[in-house]
Amino acid sequence: MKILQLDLIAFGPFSNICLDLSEGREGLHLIYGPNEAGKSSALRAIRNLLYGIPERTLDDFLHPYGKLRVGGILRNSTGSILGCIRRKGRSNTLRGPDDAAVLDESVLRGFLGGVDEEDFSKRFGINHETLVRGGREIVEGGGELASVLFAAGSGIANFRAIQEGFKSEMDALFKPNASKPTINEVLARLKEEQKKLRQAQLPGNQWAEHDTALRDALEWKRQVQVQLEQKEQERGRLGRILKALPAIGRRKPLLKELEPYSDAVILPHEFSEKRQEALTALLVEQHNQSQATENLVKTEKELEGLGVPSPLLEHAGEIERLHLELGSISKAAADRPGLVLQKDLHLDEARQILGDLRQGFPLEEVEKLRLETATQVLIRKLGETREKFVTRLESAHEKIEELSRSIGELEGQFLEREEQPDLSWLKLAIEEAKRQGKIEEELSCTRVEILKLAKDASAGIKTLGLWTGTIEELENLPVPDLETINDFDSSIRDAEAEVKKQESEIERLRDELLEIWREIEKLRMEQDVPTENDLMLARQRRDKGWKIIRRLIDGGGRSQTYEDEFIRDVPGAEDLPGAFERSIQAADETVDRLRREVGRVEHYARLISDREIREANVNRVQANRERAESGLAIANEEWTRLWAASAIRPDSPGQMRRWADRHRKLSETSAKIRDLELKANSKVAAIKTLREDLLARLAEVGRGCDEGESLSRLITRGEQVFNEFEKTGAERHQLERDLAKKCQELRAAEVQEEKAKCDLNEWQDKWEEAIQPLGLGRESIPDQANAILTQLQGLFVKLGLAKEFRTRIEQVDADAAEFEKKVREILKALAPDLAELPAEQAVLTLSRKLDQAKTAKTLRESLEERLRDEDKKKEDAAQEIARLTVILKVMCEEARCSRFDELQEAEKRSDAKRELKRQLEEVEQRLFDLASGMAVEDFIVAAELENPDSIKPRLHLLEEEIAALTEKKSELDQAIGEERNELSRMDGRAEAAEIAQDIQMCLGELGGLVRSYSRLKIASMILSEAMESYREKNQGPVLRRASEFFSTMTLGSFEALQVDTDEKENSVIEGLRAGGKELVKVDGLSDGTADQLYLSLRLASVEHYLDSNEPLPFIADDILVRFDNERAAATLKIMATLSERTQVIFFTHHVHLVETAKSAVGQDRLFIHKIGT
Amino acid sequence: MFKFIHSADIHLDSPMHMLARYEGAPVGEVRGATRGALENLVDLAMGEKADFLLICGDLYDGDWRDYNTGLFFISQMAKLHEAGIPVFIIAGNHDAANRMTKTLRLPEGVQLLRASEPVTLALDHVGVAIHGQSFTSQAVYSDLSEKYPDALPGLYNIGMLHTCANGRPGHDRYAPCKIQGLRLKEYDYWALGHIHKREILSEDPLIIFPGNLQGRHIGERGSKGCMLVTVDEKGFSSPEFRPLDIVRWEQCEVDVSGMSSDSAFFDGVLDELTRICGTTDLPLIVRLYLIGECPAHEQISSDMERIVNEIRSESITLSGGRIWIEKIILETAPPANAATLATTGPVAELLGLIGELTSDPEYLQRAGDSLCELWSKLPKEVRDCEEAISPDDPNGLNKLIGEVPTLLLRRLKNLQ
Repeated sequence: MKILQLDLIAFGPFSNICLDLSEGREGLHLIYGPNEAGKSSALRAIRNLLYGIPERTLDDFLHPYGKLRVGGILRNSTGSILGCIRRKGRSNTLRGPDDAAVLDESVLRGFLGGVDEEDFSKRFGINHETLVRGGREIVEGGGELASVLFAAGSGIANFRAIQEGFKSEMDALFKPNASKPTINEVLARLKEEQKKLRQAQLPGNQWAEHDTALRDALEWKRQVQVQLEQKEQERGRLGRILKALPAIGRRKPLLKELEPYSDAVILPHEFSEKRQEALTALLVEQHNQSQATENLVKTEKELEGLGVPSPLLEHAGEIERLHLELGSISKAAADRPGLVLQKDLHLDEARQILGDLRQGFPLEEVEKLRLETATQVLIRKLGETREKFVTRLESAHEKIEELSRSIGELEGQFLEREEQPDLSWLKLAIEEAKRQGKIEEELSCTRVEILKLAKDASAGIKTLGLWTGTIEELENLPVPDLETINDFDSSIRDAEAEVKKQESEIERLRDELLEIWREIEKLRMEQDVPTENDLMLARQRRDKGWKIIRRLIDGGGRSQTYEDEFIRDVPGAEDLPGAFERSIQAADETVDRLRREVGRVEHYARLISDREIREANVNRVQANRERAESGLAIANEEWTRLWAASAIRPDSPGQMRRWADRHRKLSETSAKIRDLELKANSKVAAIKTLREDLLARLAEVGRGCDEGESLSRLITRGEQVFNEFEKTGAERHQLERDLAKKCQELRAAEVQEEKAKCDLNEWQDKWEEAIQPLGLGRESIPDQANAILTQLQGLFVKLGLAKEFRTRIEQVDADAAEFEKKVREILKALAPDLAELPAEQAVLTLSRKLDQAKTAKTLRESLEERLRDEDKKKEDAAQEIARLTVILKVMCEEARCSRFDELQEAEKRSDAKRELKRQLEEVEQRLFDLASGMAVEDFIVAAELENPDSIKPRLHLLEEEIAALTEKKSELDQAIGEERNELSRMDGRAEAAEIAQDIQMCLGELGGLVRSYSRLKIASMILSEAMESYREKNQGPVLRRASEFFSTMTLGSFEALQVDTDEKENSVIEGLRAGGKELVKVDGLSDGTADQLYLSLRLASVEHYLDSNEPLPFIADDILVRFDNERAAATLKIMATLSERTQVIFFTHHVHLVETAKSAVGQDRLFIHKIGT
Repeated sequence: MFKFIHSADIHLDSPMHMLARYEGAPVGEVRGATRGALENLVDLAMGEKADFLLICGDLYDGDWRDYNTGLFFISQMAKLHEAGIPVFIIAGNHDAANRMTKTLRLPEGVQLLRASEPVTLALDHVGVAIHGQSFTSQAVYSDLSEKYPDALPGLYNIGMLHTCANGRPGHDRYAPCKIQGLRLKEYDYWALGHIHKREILSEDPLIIFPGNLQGRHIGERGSKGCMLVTVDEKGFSSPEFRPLDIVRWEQCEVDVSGMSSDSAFFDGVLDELTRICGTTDLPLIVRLYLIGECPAHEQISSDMERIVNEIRSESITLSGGRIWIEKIILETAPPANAATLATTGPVAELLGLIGELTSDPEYLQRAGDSLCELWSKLPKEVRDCEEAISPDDPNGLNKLIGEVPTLLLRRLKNLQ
């Protein structure tokens, strides 16, 4: 396949760039672009064209995704042509050259020989990076042949990294004798878990053993327990008996001591104390009784001597009340004269008011004048309303007067305004005139313009030149058209240019000639340059000498003239032999110089020939110039003839073109003037009509006007008249309306006045009736009535006050009389002796007597109280004596005594018996305690049966037995605990089951890991075998060709590539130095040479591929950067050779490589394309 | 009317097989699943107030030695005894192989039927006769049912039998029997055990495998449990399946045909996982099959590790940590019309070689030899699993070699 054309339609930085890659067979296409020119975009474009634009691309920075397009024309080895365009997208991205018809990818795939994108870019593409990495890989891999060939064949530069990747991945998974790799680690973990499982599992028999052991221990413990209990019982019994022996011994004497007290009564502890208390109390009470009897007699005597006046005490309440009243009565008597004075004062004032009000009206009848409150209110209310009626009447009257005056004024104004005529015709005329606009102004503008144009035109004619005449004549002048002028302009110009060109050519040739002459002169000046001619002359001279000498030798005689001439010809010669010698020398020298100075000679010869050529050229060019000059003359002549018709002598066509232009403009001006004049005339006529109409209409409404007025003034005038009439009309109308309104208001005011009069009359009737009781007439005003009412009110107030004082005086008098009466009555009953005293004094005396009686009464009451007290004391003592006697008698009974004084002896016997009994009880209690539930008597019997001396040894023996049994029991308890503990761990726990689950998880993990490892292992093995197989099949042809390439590329520094065997028995590639003696291992190659080795192998692999497959373009991206110029040239030559078989596209941005390529590769194979600017 | 529960194949304390652990997998839930299932069984019996419980063999796993397992079983049975629910057990092949069956003292109320001959037990209070016989040894090849007595008239007759029936793949052919033979006994219900997949062999009379209580590997998928049988006054039985499992095994297939990127097929996978997650609230152990022809085949197959990790991580999020992705098995293929591979050059050489190798016994021998070193270190359990390829298994090796091209090609293309 060959890319005939690459269309960078919209891709990366490119828009519609077309690279023609069709030349050559198949051609080394060197695409040069400086940095940023888009070299890498172009490179990608090729790949994207063939295999599609990837989903994410960087080439969309100028053109959006949707617009990205790269197209091309491809040809395959059978000659089929495919034009297509690739767009970006998910499907149907391959289109026909129309960018519309969808092409099937398989069509394109046919052109690619089934090579996929990866393969294409790796095997048929190489860049600097791949190259360097490939070279380095060869060195690092020690030149191992199989992998070198495989890597070069597949174009995978880092092939070793893949192999090592396999190895490191496998190592990370598994190594036979390591612990770190994952599989080893999981296997170790698995073992650990399995061990844990074995420990965690509980075998069935183990459980049974523990179960049995537990049961046995429990049974044994039960038996030990029984024995222990028996021994402990016996030990207890003997111990108790041992302790009881002293008590048993003490009991018997105690019983004996008690016998004499058998009849003694055991008295309570407090008995003695109680007895002493009772006897003492009896003595005290007997003394109290005699003391009380004595006091009683004394008090009774005192009472008998005391007297009390009881009637006075019986009336104590009345006497005290009178004593209290006495105060108020005395005060009232003192106030009475003041009250009388007040009463008289008020009566006098009343009398005076009445005198003011009604002269001579008696005070006694004054009640007749009292008015009811309702009547008073009525009078006051009526009085208030009068003002309202009077005001209303007055305002109505004022309004009537006001309205009548206004109406008079309005009527006057209305009559002043005249009536309005019909204005419609006037309005129409004004509107028509206004519609015509500023016709007069336009007319004057038009006239000014006409004048200006006419002036411009005459000035234009003057400056036109070459011609004179009127503007009308100018218009009719036959001037050639612009096109004709232009034609002449260019033909004359061309002719002139040709003449100039020939002249400058002559000039240049002359300059060159001069230069050549100078050069020749210079050479001559340096040293005469020998020419062939010089040599010929020297040889002729020599031959001439030889002829003379030969003739002499042959004996032919000599010719002096001839000899002299010869000698004269040879400069510096004096005789014939010398001359001949010199002539030979001269000829030889000329030959020598010719040979020695061949460069100069050649240069001289070239200069001479150049000079001749230049001279011939000068002649040729001079002939040309003459031809050109005659052409120019003819053209000028025709030009002049063209203008003859208009009697103008033309200037150059350029100037005449400008003249014709001015002429055309003047003609246009003339036409414009004509046009404007016509317009002016029509406007004059229109103005006339409008003015006449307006004048007539104004006259019609009685506003005649000056006939000489302009149209615009007439319009203004008409509008004024119209506005005046309209204004007056509106005012008249307004006045009319105002008048009607005022008349209506007047009528309303008159009605109101009438109503006010009626209301006032009505009020007066009511008033008259109301004020009658006041003694006032119809015409009296409310203020009069109000004054009378106020006075009446004052009169009755004074009368009221006087009456009040009179009542109070009467009350005082009555109270005094009543008091006197009561005093007399009480005196009559209690103290007739005081009857002669005035009431006040009598009351005071009586009161004093009452106080004395009260004191006597109190004294008697206290004596009676004392009498009762003493009586009670006497009674109490008697009772207490009786009680104590009873107590003592009871005590005697208790102690079995007949008299009180026997009691003390009885108490002593009681104490003695009690002490003995207490001691006995103590002993028996101890025995009871030790009997531990047995009857004390039985216990004593049992104890008495034991031999006291054998008890202690027996107890000692028992202690020992019990200690042994207790220890045994504790041992058993521990064993039981242990067994229970063991069994409790066997509780059905899930530990082992969970470990088993963990083991399954390890196994699960292992399954996956083992699979991964196996896969890697097999894959790595297959890869090795494939490499070996590929080597076997391809080693011969590829290595042979690579060897040739390598030798060429290294400029013969290496003769060939050879296969050797390294220490590990691997076939490795090595370089054979020039001379075939030294083999260099790959690690001895310089970086650059390693690159060249890799490239040789790659190119050889591609060639090998081409042997049996559809060719594909080989695309190199700036791979020669590290190559020196010679090796770069050699490499380019190899690529040129490769381009015989398949297209080679070489991208670079190094301009020197372009030059190198040009000098290294023939034009028939190298094609240079430049992209970018 | 009475109720009883028919269960079998408890395989108590048997672990989940070959389950590779990973971060976030519901490890805790998986642990002790068979115990949990047994507890569920006991709870069900008590909750339903069943009249008795039948365990038709394989209570234990054959080679399991931990006596704690038996003690745990006893503790569960003690609960039933307290609740007054008697339990009848026949030993299956696994139980016969397990020493625990012989040494463990069963608590009151639990009866292991004899192995020497068929036994008949009459439960008078419910009017039931139970016939059954335990396995004497692990391998019993005779038809035990032949010697079972005929039905007792007037009672509801139940036959307990551990059998492979007429044979089921994946199960040992122990105590085979014929459906017709069972019918002839005229029992009302045949309570079978041994086959782990639930199956009703006959409706009249009822002959039922209840399946095992808890799935333990991908072969034991779906819900697992027991049959709760209600028998009415007329002797009519209604069996009802009751799930008891703690963790459920499921298998999903995701068809990724035509998908060109892994993001697209991720959606398919997540949809499928969401669907299966919605079928139950239990923790799930899921095996995922990716099938179909798709352009992303090469990408997927070369990047399985990442994809597996991503799917696992997504499934944790999606299910709240309830899904355990056991394995993802890739059965995708490149589209049939994919670009043809290189026909010449080293890569073509490589592919050609692989083609040749698969049919070359000598080569397979060498390939196998290369795996011997690892193989010798592997425990038996790993050697037995489906992923491990034996060095002398040509089919396995061929399958492994079949996986190589994508692996190699991707590396040759990618590692530039």
